[in-house]
This record gives sequence, structure tokens and C-alpha cells, in this order.
Amino acid sequence: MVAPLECRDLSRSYGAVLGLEGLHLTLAAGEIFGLIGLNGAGKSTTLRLALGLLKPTRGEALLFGVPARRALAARRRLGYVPSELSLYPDRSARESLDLLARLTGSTPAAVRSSRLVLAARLGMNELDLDRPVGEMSHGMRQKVGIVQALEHGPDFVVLDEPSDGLDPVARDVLATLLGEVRERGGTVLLASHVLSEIEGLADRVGVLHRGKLVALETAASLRRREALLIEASFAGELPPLDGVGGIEVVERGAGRLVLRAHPPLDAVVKLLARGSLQMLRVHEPSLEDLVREVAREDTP
Amino acid sequence: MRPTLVLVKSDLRRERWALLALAVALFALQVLAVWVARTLDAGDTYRKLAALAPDFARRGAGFDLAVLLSFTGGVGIGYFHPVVTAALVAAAMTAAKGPIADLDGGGAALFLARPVPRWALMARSLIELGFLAVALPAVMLLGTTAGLVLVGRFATTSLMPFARLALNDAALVLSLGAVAALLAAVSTRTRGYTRATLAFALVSYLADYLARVWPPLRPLGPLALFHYLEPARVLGGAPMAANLAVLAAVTCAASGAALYLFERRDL
Repeated sequence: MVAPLECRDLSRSYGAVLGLEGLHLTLAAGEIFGLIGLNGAGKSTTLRLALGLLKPTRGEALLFGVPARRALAARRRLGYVPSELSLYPDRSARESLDLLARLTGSTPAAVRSSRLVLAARLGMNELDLDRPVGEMSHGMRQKVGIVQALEHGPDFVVLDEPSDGLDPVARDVLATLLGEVRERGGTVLLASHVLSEIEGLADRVGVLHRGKLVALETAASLRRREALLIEASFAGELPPLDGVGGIEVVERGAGRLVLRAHPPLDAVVKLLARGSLQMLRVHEPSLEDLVREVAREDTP
Repeated sequence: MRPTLVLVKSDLRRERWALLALAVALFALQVLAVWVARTLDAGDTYRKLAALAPDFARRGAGFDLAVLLSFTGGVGIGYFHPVVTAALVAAAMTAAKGPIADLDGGGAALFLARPVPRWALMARSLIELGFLAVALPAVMLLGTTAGLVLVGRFATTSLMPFARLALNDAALVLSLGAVAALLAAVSTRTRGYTRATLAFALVSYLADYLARVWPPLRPLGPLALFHYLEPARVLGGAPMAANLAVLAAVTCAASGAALYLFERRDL
């Protein structure tokens, strides 16, 4: 079976600035792939190369086996959600959706029922679709963007920061919709700078840092690579910290202890329980911490 | 070809009221030009003005003033008056900006994520340009016809000089629009495109004007597209094939370059 997206040594420079360097990546059918990285890491460059909007300086991106810039027929099987839908602000969402449906080679009538179902699931009614796009909130525009990408039942869905501006209910609906794409054998490429957006959904996660893919693994294993920050307060004496390795003391003060440790934390918790523990708080690493950690580990 | 036509239909539908307003304004201007020409002609004003014009003014104008100082010339002004010229240039610029407006507004990525060839974004603008270049001069010619009927001069006035002027206008609009499309193909922002295209049109207009009235600048004239719109000669019945050929060559070269460059650029 032909992979929806295959990147072979995909590279792109902007003059002296590196946008993406030597990306080797193959997405499988029935997979949700998360692409994370800080701003400027190369996520948008990767998506734009995959859509054929940018020309690679080296390597190639194959869309269903065809170089992305020439993959005209393959794009019928593609759905794309941009980070912000800004198509013809003076035109109603319905008119924009009709235009995009025609450009897909379909007709507004053919996608009408799936459009209405999708809109309803995202919390929009028919009247919402008649409002000009320019008068809609960012979240509402984002919902229209999701509808236009999914209404023709694509086999490969590419999303760029899709949940920006979406309310929590709509985020859950989006996660369900993407899960449904996977269930019917479709593939999802989801780019985000919010790890939590991806980790409950993605089968695999790629971490981009300064244009390079520095990690490619499951979201859970990625999480395990980052040390957690553990904050504990005690009534009375602090417990002794001997006997457990891999703990870094960040702060030690009157009745308060801040540690950094890698999961699993059972040994650390047992150690802390030796004192009169009043409060225990575990802080999740931020994406920035995580990317920094991964990049540091991958630097020879 | 289908996506191109879908985009053309969509654009024309979106801009229909602006287009209609422009067409009505150009039609009304031609009717007004006929009415003014008839009024001046009835008072023998053209003959008196022609007699008053000194030789240096005739030579300085760079064309046959007598042709313009006539009823035909008065009606023909509607085809090269600066207001009309500005309206035609604006229409050409608007038609040509499609690809850069899509790129700037985010539509290009959505279109090209579908089975839409990249050249279709540029081709649709060129088709719209062709439509405007035919439709607007045709509307002006209709306005002239209506005006002549209204003032009772239709039977005694040949439409041929005005049809020739309309053809010259159409060729000029096409060439200006094609250059604008070329600028759209290489621009990164709509604002930059608008500035560059306005500057090009203005410089071309001024260069032609200065070359006509100031002999030292005469060699610059052929470099300006407006040089190839010669209303007095066209109204006087002089051949216009050479001018049309230059404008057609510019249109073909600029359109081809616009399609080529847009196909290869990053979006």
C-alpha cells in the first residue's frame, strides 16, 4: 500500500537559514502522526513541503507515491486545515465551502449531508454557515476550516495548529473526528506546539528542533524522557535523600524540597514519605523543556 | 481547465456589483461625451477652437489637433480621458491581482490542497483580464451608440473610429494587465504588488506624456505602453496594426512569464 506521505531526505533552506534538514519520515495508513516543535522549528515548512507549496532544496516529499508538487490526483484524497482560515472574509462560510467543494471535483449537493453533520457535531447550525467568514470568531472560522477539510472524506488529513481558538468541547469533537479518520484507514498529520493536544491522540510523535527531527517515538515514551519537577512540603524535618539515584535537588529550604526526577516516581514517593509529608505536587514538563531535553540528548 | 473556470466564475460572481457599477459609469461617460460633443458642435465651438489654436500648440501637442477639435474627436475623448484610462487600469490591476491576493489571504494553500494545478490560479486571472479587456470597451462602444441615438446623430456618424479606439483601449488594458500579472507572480504581498503596479502604470503614463511634449525625452516614448495608444491618429484613420502588434507582443510575453514564474515559485 502506498504511504500517504513519504519524506526522503527532505530539506529546505531559506537563504542561509535552515528551514528543514534531511527529514526521513513515512506515514502509514491508519496512523495519527503528531509533529511538535517550538515556533520556527520547521513544522510549517514540513507541511508546506508536503502540500507542494514549497520546493525542497534537497530530497523530496511524496504524496501517495507522487512528488507533492505534481500530485494533482492524489490531492483529491487530501484534507488540509490551516492554522487560520482566512478565505474571502466578505463571503459566507457556505459560499466558501461550496467553492472548495467544486475545486475538489465534487459538488455542494454531494457533500451537503456530511457538511451539515460535521457542522452540527462542531456546534454550528445552518445559520452559522450563512455568516460572512470575516465576521466569525477565530474559533468559529477554525470550525469552518475543519468542515472544509473533512466533508469530502479524505484519506489523508493535514492539520496545522488546529485547536487554536477552539473551545474544549470542539477540541474533543475534533479528536473524535480524527480518530474516525484513523478507524476507516485514513492518516492524520497533526502539527502543533502544544504537546497535550497531540499526546492523547497521536500514535507516533516527531519532535522538530531547529529544522531537524530530533525524536520519533510514541507520545508516552517522549514524556518519559523528560524529568518531572517534584515539589514537596513537610511538617518538621526533611527526609534524608540517600539510597535513590537519579534525583537532582533543585531547592532545599525550611520544610520545602524541590526535586527533579525521571518517571517512574514510586521510589521517589517512598523516599519522601519517610518525612512528615504535607503536600506533594508534580509538574509536567513544558514543551520547551521537553524539546530542550530531547535536543540535548541527541546532540553528540 | 475545470478548476480554472470554477475560480473565474467564483471571482466574477464575487465582484459582480463592482463590475456592474464600473460598466454603468463607463457607459454613462460615453453618453455624456456624445451629448457634450453635440452641444459644442451645434455652437460651432470646435471650428472656432481649431482656428484659435496657434501652430506651436498644434506641433507641441504631438498629434493632429484638428482631428480632436471635431465632433468625432469630442466623442472619442471618452476613450482616452484620464478618468477612463484610470478606471481601465484599475480594472486590469484588480483582475491581475488574483494569485497574490490568494497567497496573501491564505486561499492559495486551500486551493492547492485540492486537485487544482498551480497555473490555474494565474490562468484564471488572465482569463478575467481578457474578459474585462473585451467587455469594458464593448460597453463604452455601446454607450457611444446609445448617445448617438439619443442626440439623433447615429445615422450620420460612423462608429468605426470609436470601434478602432475601443480596440486600442482593449489592447492597452490587456498589456497593462499582463504586466500586472507578471508583478503578481513575483510579489510576496498584495500591498507590494499594488505599489509596484501603480508605479509602473503611472511611470508609463508620464513617460509617454513627457515624450510627446518634450523633444529631448522623445526616445523614451516607445518604452511606455501608453505610447501605443494614439487616439488622434486612430480617429484620423491612420493604420494601428503596428501599435496593436507591440501591445499584443507585450501581453503574450508578460502572460507567459507570469505563468512560468508562478508555477515555479514558493507559495
